[in-house]
Amino acid sequence: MGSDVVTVRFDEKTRKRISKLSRRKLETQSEIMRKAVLNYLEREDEANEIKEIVSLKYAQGKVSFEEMVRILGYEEARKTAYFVEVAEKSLKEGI
Amino acid sequence: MKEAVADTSALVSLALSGKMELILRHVKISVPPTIKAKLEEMPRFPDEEGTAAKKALSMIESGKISLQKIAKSEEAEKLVTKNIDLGEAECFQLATERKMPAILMDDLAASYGLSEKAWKNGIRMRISAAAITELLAAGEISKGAARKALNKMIKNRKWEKTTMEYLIKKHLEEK
Repeated sequence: MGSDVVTVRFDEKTRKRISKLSRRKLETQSEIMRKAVLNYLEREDEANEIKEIVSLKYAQGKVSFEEMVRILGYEEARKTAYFVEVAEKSLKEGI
Repeated sequence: MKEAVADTSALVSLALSGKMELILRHVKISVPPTIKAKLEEMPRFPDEEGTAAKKALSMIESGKISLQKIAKSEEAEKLVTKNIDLGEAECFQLATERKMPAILMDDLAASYGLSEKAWKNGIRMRISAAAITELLAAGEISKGAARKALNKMIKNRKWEKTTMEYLIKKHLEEK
């Protein structure tokens, strides 16, 4: 699989941190940045998967709002409950 | 005739349902300029969503979707956050200025971010599937056709195994 060059801007402080880590780990700065991005993507994908599983169980009535708060945190739980309410109203009442 | 402002996510979903033109005969949909601009960027990608964006754009260009400028763009800019982009903010501002009763938005994070202000301004936040419900209520499509359109939306939007799919299918089973 081919790869593309992407240009990203960092502030001075972050550039220095990348440089310092690169020297410490004896890896190129490109490799450091690549790993950082991949780690971030993986964490986000996992978090989204968990959110979706819990959201579905909430919509199915298998998980209570309180349980959802315990798993996802209050704000995410509120967002999910909101979505389920809006979707149900949209389907039932129309515009 | 029902009226609503729609954002990019909702317009793409409606185009992917295959019922956009019929919906536009029963629902007056308006969009602010940034939504048109976002749609113009999308056909660069040769996928279903790019094609749907082209369809939505053609509806704007033919006047079937109303393109409306907002008077106070600075008010829209104040709403922009990490979850609400300028297009979504402009949708809210347009709905507020023109006293539109509803906003169609399939982006959950943005919809949630705008929900409190929408409620205070008497604006209903809805997902795009509400437009299919309108067609059914108006007797313009059969239950079978509504089911087909919603299933098409689910498939083309890649909503399989998501909460959205579950809620839509549960609703269809109850009808």
